[in-house]
Order: sequence, then structure tokens, then C-alpha cells
Amino acid sequence: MLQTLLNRLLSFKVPKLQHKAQCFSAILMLSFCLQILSGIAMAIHYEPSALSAFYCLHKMERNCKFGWLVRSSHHIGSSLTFGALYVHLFKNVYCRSYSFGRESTWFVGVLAFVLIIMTGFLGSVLPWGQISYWAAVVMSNFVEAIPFIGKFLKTTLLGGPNVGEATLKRCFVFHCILPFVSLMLVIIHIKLVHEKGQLYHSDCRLPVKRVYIPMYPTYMIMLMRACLFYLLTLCTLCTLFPDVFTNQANYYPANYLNTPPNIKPEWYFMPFFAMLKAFEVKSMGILSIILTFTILITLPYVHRFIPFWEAVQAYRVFVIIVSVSFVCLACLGGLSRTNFTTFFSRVCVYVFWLFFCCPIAKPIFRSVKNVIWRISYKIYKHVDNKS
Amino acid sequence: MATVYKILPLWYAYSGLSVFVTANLLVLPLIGQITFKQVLSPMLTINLKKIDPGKILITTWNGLPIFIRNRTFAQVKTTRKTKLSSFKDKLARNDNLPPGTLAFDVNRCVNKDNQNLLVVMASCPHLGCLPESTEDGWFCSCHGSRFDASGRIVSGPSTFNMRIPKCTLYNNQLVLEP
Repeated sequence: MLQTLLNRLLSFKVPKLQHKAQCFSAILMLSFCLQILSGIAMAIHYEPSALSAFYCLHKMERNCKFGWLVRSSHHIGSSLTFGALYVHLFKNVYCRSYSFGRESTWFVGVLAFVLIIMTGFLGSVLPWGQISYWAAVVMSNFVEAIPFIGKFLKTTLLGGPNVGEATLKRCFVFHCILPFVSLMLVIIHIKLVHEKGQLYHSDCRLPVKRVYIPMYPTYMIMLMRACLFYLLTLCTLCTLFPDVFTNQANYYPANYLNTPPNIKPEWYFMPFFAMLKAFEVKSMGILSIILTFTILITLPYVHRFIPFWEAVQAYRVFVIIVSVSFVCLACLGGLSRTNFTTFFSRVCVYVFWLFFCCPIAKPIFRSVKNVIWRISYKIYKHVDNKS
Repeated sequence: MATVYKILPLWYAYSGLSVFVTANLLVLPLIGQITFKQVLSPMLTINLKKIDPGKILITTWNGLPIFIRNRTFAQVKTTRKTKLSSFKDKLARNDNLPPGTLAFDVNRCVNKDNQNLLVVMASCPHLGCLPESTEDGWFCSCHGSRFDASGRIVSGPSTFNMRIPKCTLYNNQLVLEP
């Protein structure tokens, strides 16, 4: 059975012209498995109680053999996983991998993405340092702003009026369960990729002849090289810079009578954090996050009817604008709040929502192009007449 | 066959009942234990002689931190100078008074005899961070909300004044009641 599985895997037909960024799928698979392994190793030493959660992790770092390595690899691995996830997402949105009968793959992938984000946030609460505690407090106050059910939801999620030991236990349990749920989704995702096939690199240019080759020698080696590169990066960061992604204030145990000056979550939640901070009304921030995921989920239906190369070009310009605004949001989320940052992040959120206007991208693109052509022609004529 | 049709309603009733009982026994406890019922802590008495003028005491009650501030005469005077119309939130969020009371400084104090004394929930109404106390009030370092010496929002993202819990004063003993 294993042999048939291996045979099927190796003889899986992939397009000959692959995008180089496709390596990130393999990197994601590897990093996800590594995260689960190191997570199990850490869960053995972890005590989910408000008194000892902070100290048991430090004890593990100092007293256990290779404890520091396991912890830093889990922490840095999460950052690298999210980095790979964002690149994978960008690549698939940019190349429109979701279209042409691959919608189900896309939906399962987006669902896994949402679950992984939730898992990441729950995991960031577990060290029970100052930043983890106050990030949980801030997030719970955002949950409270949801109309009608907010207050009930907050007390239910926290298990009390305030963030405390009950919250920590809940976070630990769900941080243990959700990765396995998302692992299941990831397996379904990969199965669907194998069933429905991969996107041909230049799928948009219809007349190109498509050639498919077996996965084994060429493509597999490309993926393996990428995985080795990922492992090299992870090892370098874990051994030489184990605290690159750690906030300094998180080295102090949680203290509910002292708020550290500049609370910010891990860098990979920054865009969402900036969206939450952008608006005066808190429920508006939550709405913007929901809209973000709605955009992701509805993409296959919004962009169903763009078979022309010109429209695809317009779409790509859109995608680049939107992702630049996303990166801007990530940068703004870390800054302290001023009038300029709120204004600019609000602009970025509005630009992000432009994604919904993609169906009308083609006419806009065409008219802009026509105007440019007309102006340049007039200038050309003007210059021609003069000479 | 006729007899079967006769007992069919009974059978439905029986199966419905069993499903109901199973749901009660299995599902409801599983869902119900997640929800939380707040157990209010007993009343807390604080001796106010400990707090000197211009000092702040932080205590916790029901798992929530609380500021007790003994304001100096100058601080009270400066807070009363600013007009109510210049504040963002014009309601005194005071649990002791009926809702809809305006946020004059008098309505924010513990009672009319001790107008220097202020008891507020020590969490920023914006996102729940703990504000730092300054000379002229509070400053939330999370997102930069600024409150005056009676806990009213002056500038920043917060849209409410700091909430005042239910409390009473009996000769220098402050009592926080559930």
C-alpha cells in the first residue's frame, strides 16, 4: 500500500512551467509538521496555570536538555510558517490558482489559513508574559464590541470577567486541538490538489501548449532544495538568534497591575491589528477583518469571468496594490497611535476593500490605457508639427 | 398491521423523549460547562486613612482592578474649570446614580461630602489596558487615551468615561458591594 502511494505520488503529473514560488507549499508542509512535533515536545513540559506557566517555560529552557532549542524552534518556526503562508497566499492570488475548477482546494486552504491564524494567536497567549497577557486583554475587548452577543461571547471565551487562569487553560486546550483539525484540512487540501491538478504557469495565455511531466526528478528536487533552505534558515535563527521575534517586555511575567508601554502582537498579526486599530468604532474594525476573509473566500466567484490577457493584467495590478496596502498595514500596526497612522491605516483598509471592485477592473484599465495613448499621441503630434 | 399504526405515535413520543433526555444528559452539560456564571466576591472594605492626598491606591475586586484616588484641592479645582461641552462623553458612567446623569465632577465623586475622593474601574474603556496615573489624571499608554482627574475622557480613541463601580462610604471605610 505504501508503495502504491509512493508510486502515485512520484508519478503525479505537474506542469512543466512551474512558478518558482510553488516551493513554498513544500516548505509549509515541512514547517507545519515540525511545528506539531516541537509543540508536542513542549506540551509535555507546560503547565497551564497562571502561577507557573511563565516559569515552567523558562525552567524548560534552562534545565532540560535542548529545551531552549525546542522552544526557540517552535517560536521562530511559527514566524517562518506564517511568512511562508503569506507568500503562498500571495502567489496563489496573483496567479489566480483558485479558478478553473479548483475552487474546493481554495476553500479548504482558506479555512485552514483561518484556523492556523487562530491557533497562532492562542499560542501567543501561552507564555503568559506581559505582552501575551495584555494582547489577550486587548483582543477580548475587541470581542466585546461585537453587537448583541459580544458580552456573552467575551465572558464565555475568557471564563471570567477578566483574562485569568481559566483563559489560559482554554487557550492551551484549543492550541492543542486546532493544529490537528487544521492538519486534517491540510491533508484534504493536498488530496484535492492531487485530484484537480495544479495551475499551469501561464494559464492565462490560452493558446500556449501545456506540457505535463511526472513529479519525481525535476520538481521533487526543486521542492527538496527549498526545504533544505528552510531548514538552514530555521537552524541559523534558532541557534544564533533565538530571540529575534521575541518582544522584550515578554520576558517579564504577566502583571495585571502594570501595562507595558507599546503592546503589539507578533508581526504576522500586525495587518489585522492595524485594521482593528484603524477605526474609532470597534465593531468597524471587526467588520473589516471579516470582510478581509470574505474577500478571500469569494475570490473564485468574483473573478470567474476574466479569460482575457488584458483583464488579467489589470487584475495583477490590483493584486499588487492590495498587497502593498497589506504590507503597509503590517508596518503601521507596530507604530504607536497618532493621527497620521490612523489616517494612513484607514486609507490602507479602504484600498484593501478595493479588491471587491476587481470585476470592473478591465474597463477601468482599458479607459486609463486609452487616455494615456491619446495624450501621448497628441504630444507626439504636437512635437511632430513643430519640427 | 393496524395495531402497529396504533402504537406508532407512542413510538414517536418514546423516541423523541429519549432523544430529549440524551441531549439533556450529554450535550447540554458539555456546552453548559463552557459558559461562565460570575460568582461575585463578598464586599470589600478599604480604610481610606491609608491614602494621603494626591495618592492613588490600586486594589482588585471581582477580578477587576480598581483605582481609589484621593485628589488634592488644586486637582479638583482644575477639573471643574473645564466646561462639560468640551468633553467627548457627557454622561457620568456612575453606577450609584441613575443612568443618564451628566458628567459633572460632582456626579463622579463618591458622595457630596467627600468630593476629593474618586473610585473608578482601573481599565481603559477603549481596550482594557491599565492607565498610568499622571499629575492631571490618567494616561493610557496602549493607544494614548488621556483622562482628567475625575476619569473623564479628554483626548484619544476611547469614547467613554472611566466607569465608577457601586460603592458606599461609612466614616472613612469604603465598601464595595456586589
